[in-house]
Amino acid sequence: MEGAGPLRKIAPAPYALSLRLLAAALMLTLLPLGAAKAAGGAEGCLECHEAYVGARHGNTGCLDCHPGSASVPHEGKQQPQPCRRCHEGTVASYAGSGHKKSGLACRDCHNVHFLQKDKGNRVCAGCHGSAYEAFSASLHAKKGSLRCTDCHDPHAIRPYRELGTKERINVCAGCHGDYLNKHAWLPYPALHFGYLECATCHSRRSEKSIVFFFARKSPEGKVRLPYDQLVRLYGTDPAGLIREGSRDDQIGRLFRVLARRDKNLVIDASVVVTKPFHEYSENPVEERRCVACHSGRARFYGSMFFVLPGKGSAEYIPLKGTLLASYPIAASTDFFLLSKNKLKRKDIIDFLLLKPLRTDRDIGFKWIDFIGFWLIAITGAAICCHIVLRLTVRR
Amino acid sequence: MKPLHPLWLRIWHWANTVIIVLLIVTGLELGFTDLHIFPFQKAVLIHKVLGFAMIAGFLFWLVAAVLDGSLARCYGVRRRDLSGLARQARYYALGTFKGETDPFPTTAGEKFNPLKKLAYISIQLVFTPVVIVTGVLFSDILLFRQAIGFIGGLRVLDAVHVIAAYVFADFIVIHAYMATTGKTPLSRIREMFTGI
Repeated sequence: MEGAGPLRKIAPAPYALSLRLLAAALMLTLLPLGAAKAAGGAEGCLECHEAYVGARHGNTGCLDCHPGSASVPHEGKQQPQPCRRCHEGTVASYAGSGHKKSGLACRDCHNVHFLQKDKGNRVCAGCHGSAYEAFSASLHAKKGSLRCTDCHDPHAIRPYRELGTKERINVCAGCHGDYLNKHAWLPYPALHFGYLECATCHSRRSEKSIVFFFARKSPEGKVRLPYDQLVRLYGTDPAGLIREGSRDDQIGRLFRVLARRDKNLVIDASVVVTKPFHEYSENPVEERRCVACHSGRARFYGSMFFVLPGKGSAEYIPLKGTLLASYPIAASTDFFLLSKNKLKRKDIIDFLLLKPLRTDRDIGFKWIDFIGFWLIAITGAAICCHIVLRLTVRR
Repeated sequence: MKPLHPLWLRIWHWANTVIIVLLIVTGLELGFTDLHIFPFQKAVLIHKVLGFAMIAGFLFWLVAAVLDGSLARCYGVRRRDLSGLARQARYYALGTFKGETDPFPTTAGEKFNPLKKLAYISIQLVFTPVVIVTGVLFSDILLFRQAIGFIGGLRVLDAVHVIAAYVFADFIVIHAYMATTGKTPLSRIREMFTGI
């Protein structure tokens, strides 16, 4: 047997074997008492498995994970015990994590034989290099000794694009729990934080978007509609339903179908990061102006998505923004950004130049300004005509 | 001689004029934030304070108009008002240029011709209450959250408030011009200062 070669080479002499058996008996006696320290359980093993000298995995010994190796020589390759035997809770939460969905196994991040309590951020940086680089230069990294795992639980992590504002804020609130008091300068801080995350302001280089989604109204507030409820409500998976073309209209139509079946369904929205930059230490005091967000200049107006829950992950569907302008009239009750739905000079010029009239949905709430503007303009013109006629007849 | 416009009405009229003009200007800043007429935060504060001043003024007008009987006298709709709408419109469109006499001349007892009455009823008894109620709801959106949700949310509230504001703006333009159509261009404006 090929694998038996090295073992045979170091096969113990009879007297030594007796000693080993004695040691093994002693070890097996102590194991249930939890006294099987790494060294204690490995002494014999390390004579053959020299590569594992210095190995450490908490208080476990070799045989805790390789019980089939108690007899020497072993037969064939010994399969280790699965990690969940000891780490049941962690493995259970990991099963639903984004890392698991990406196909990562325990050993991709953990060297089980040389497990160290604190491995710093190197493990994460192996895959998330650019995030680690940005974070390393940030105030968080410089002022504290923060590790990636201080904010992120790698065993339960979910893709940030699937997180709502509350879940995103909770990441920061672990340390900055008094964030509402710190933002007392902001009108209605609790209301704002229902629609924003910390990084909306504290990470200028992160890309932000207005993200729309289906939600259900309940006494506890609005809750995002999960995939299974969406499928139950629609009757089938609506994935692929939204195609090229006027997606805003298609989503509006889908909403109307769903809203007929569930009166508590609304389209809700939030302003969140859709491409993060791991510098969250910025404190742009000069941006503490309402118009930083509540004006047409706010950058996130240029990036809007509808998040459709999917079987595996949520689908981000890019929007033109007319969903914001028209459909939430009966859907979104609180999300309200000034200026976007206001008439612009260009709209008036387009009208005067007889450019093709856009549909009511393209105009959205602008029709109010549109009619208001022309009402006053026509009134002014009529008055001017009246004045001219009065002067002409000298009355 | 009994004044055409009592003192309380003249004081309220000019105070209300200033308030409404400033409300429209600050409201423009709130709606069209790129205009930069005022700093946004100041515009919010001024708009809110003036809004409550307008409410106080409206309540003052309502009580005074009820007490001196002018609400029933001037705002009460009669059958002849309805039939007179077309005559008054014809007068403004044609008669005024031909030197015809006003079919409904202004007197202390009958201040409003049918068209004016329609305009004033719309403004004072419809659009002012609408703009006041929506403005009060806007003044504390957390306190009035349930009521706002009931009428369809902030966007609907904003739409109703803004529609009422456009009507006010249009009314002011027409009202200011109509004030110049007296015996002389300034005679009606003078009346609103002196009362006679």
